Amino acid sequence: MTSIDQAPAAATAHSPAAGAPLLELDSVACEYKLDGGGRFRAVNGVSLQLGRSEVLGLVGESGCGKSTLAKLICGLEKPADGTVTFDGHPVRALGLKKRAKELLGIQMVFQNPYASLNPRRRIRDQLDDALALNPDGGWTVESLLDAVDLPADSAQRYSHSFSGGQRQRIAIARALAAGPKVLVGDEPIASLDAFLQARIARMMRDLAIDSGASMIFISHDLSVVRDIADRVAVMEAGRIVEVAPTDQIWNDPQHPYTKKLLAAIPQVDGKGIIPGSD
Amino acid sequence: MSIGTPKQPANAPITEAARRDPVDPGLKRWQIRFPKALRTPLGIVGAGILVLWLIAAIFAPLLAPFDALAQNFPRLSAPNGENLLGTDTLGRDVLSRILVAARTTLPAAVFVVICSALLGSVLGAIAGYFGRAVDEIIMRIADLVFAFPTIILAMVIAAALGPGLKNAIIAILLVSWPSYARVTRSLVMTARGSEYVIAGRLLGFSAGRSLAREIAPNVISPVVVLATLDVGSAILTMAGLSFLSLGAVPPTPDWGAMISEGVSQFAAWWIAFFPGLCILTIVMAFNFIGDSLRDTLDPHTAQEVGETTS
Amino acid sequence: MSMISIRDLNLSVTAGKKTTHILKDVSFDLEAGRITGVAGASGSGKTQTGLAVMGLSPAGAELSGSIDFDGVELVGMPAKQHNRLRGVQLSMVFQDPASAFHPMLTVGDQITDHLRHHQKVSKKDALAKAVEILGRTRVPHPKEAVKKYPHQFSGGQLQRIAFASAIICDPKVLIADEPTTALDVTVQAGILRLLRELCDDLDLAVLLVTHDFGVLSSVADTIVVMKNGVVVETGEREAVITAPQHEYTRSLIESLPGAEVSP
Repeated sequence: MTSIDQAPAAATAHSPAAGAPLLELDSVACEYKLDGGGRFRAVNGVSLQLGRSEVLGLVGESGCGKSTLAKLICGLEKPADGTVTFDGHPVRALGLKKRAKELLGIQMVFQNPYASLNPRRRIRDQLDDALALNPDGGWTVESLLDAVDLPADSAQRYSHSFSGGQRQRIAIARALAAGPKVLVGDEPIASLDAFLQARIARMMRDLAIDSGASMIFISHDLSVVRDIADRVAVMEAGRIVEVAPTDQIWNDPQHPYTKKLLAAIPQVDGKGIIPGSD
Repeated sequence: MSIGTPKQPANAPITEAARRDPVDPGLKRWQIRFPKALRTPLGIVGAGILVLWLIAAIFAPLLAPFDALAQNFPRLSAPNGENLLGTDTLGRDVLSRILVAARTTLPAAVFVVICSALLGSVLGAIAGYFGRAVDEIIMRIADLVFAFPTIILAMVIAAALGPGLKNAIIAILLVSWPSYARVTRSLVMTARGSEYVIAGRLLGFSAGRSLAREIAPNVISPVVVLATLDVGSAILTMAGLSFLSLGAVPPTPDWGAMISEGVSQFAAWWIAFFPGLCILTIVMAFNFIGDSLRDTLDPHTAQEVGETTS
Repeated sequence: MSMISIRDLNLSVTAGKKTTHILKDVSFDLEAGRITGVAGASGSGKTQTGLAVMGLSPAGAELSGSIDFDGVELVGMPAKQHNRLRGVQLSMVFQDPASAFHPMLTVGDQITDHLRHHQKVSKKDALAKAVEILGRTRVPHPKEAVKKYPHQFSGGQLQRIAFASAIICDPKVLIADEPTTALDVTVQAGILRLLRELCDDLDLAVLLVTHDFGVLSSVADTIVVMKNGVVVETGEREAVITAPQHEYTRSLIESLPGAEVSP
């Protein structure tokens, strides 16, 4: 449908930060076996770089492989091809043993806030688990809850007494507590009301950058990504079709798919115009 | 390294009002209090019956009007002023025998259920978490046990081991563990893929720690419910084994054995009837309690309550 | 002339000793040929309002007030009578198209099933009508589509089939509960266009429940904003979005990335 050789140079844009990139994906591919035999390439030759103190937005529609890419970055899936390197260390898939120490700097916030927290353990205990990784980070349970705008007594409660938006904030607090260098958000706002999405996204961005981490923010919602990302990568059918600084993607999109995505965003102007109609 | 004071989100003021989320409504209070409020009438009835039986069992020697083993009374006499529930073929007081029998049956049943729940859950959790070869082996053995009707298999094992309460317990243990294994396995398999478990692994938990600290608390409630309901079955199976002379050794009073005896003395209906009634009440009591526990502890019901409505 | 007039609608649920008020004195109108968008956060009562019109309020809920449907009072109507209206005059489309269909019946069976339940139509005629309606909702290859199963369609196509099923009995009122929330943004536009066309062509009174102001800005004619079971603002689309009167509406619109609100 769309040609993928239109953006070969853009697909491996140089990271703005000096020195080696914090996270590097080199021609990564991931395959799933299909029921009727044969293989499906969810991710097909993706190369990306993430610099220090940078927010990279990854956008694409359902089925494009962005969640699989998130799992590859965290080592939750094994690449069929290519390598993932974090801070110079190769990211090995998570097996039965403990996570390799050098990889603990990668943390993730998941899409489903209702499954992100253990329903039978108190919030405090779950935050403490993360704090144990980063004792010198300066965070405490109280300061974490404060940072995500939740009252201090939340620590004593269980996850079922919180709404989706609140649970997601707790999940963000937990990820931050571990002192990550790379925070991966796998559609962290998709399950939330539209009114909360921008706020939570901005909160994630601010907290990540302020604590010195970089963030990969995966979303199908371009407006929110525009709000918080420094660079945006557009993904279609397992490939990155365009990567550019945010403003450039908005003002001067190159790839037809990017243009199509941008055209589909409804404007909140009250004019009653459905996107795509002339 | 700086703590990293977070910038305030651009559109929310730093006030208590913000904490209370003008836009994020949170859960209503009624939705949180709901789980604690549930106490079904049946559960209370079940608990009441169980408490009565516990008292009866503990104080049996004091409550029993006569010695359970003494063959003093006219044989096969119907319930009357002296022997409230009649006497059996050897002239023993039925009421006393029933009360004393509770002292062996109840603890034995609870013990066997606890053991099989523990054994089954551990095996099921290992199968569910580690998968592949371990899973196959454990589940195929479980399938083997499931292939036989419970009482038949228990009979065969008890017969092979010889009569006696201890052997009856072992037999029941060996036929009961697979149900727990199966339930625990599927619970663990579901939990294993949950985001919170993955989050734990990303925080550096080993598989073992993940299993013990994160997954176990979520698995305990359903297993407890299953175990409670299983006590009734255990009592029935033990009674069945005793009925076939494979359980408690005479002259120790035992409900199943008493029923067995009563069957051959059909005219003296009270010999089988009252022990049968006892089994009925206890099994019902445990079933009521189990159902009530399931309603209150079931994560689905609890979670349903936790979701917001729009 | 309002097709549906909701006046002082109150919905409360009593559990044990606690009574919770889900809807409080909700009042607004639905007019034929217009899309009324109801916006609000989770828990605002927007979906419950739609369900109340359909007679699908939760069991044990107390509904008081008035829902006047073209002269007929819906509040307090016996369930059997409300049943006859549901699917025929009042229809609903839900958020998740995949769970709106039985996975083991063909799409044709499911659409014609409720047509034949409400109207005495032969199987052949029902199927013909189903094909026609699927064409109207722009489901590709309608003749083949009726023989397929739900899992063979994409989310967007399934939602179109859901709309087809909703309009096959020529209803007067259509309630769409977050119809595009589960869909990709490129598919969303198509569904919104379909909703607009159906509303205009069939003179439907549409109640569109959503938390997405982008959707409202595209297709709603009137916007009703709800918070905690109460209607805080009602107005024409452009007025509510560009010059909201109520503080809550203002905060909702301002919380959207890139939205600009006039002071």
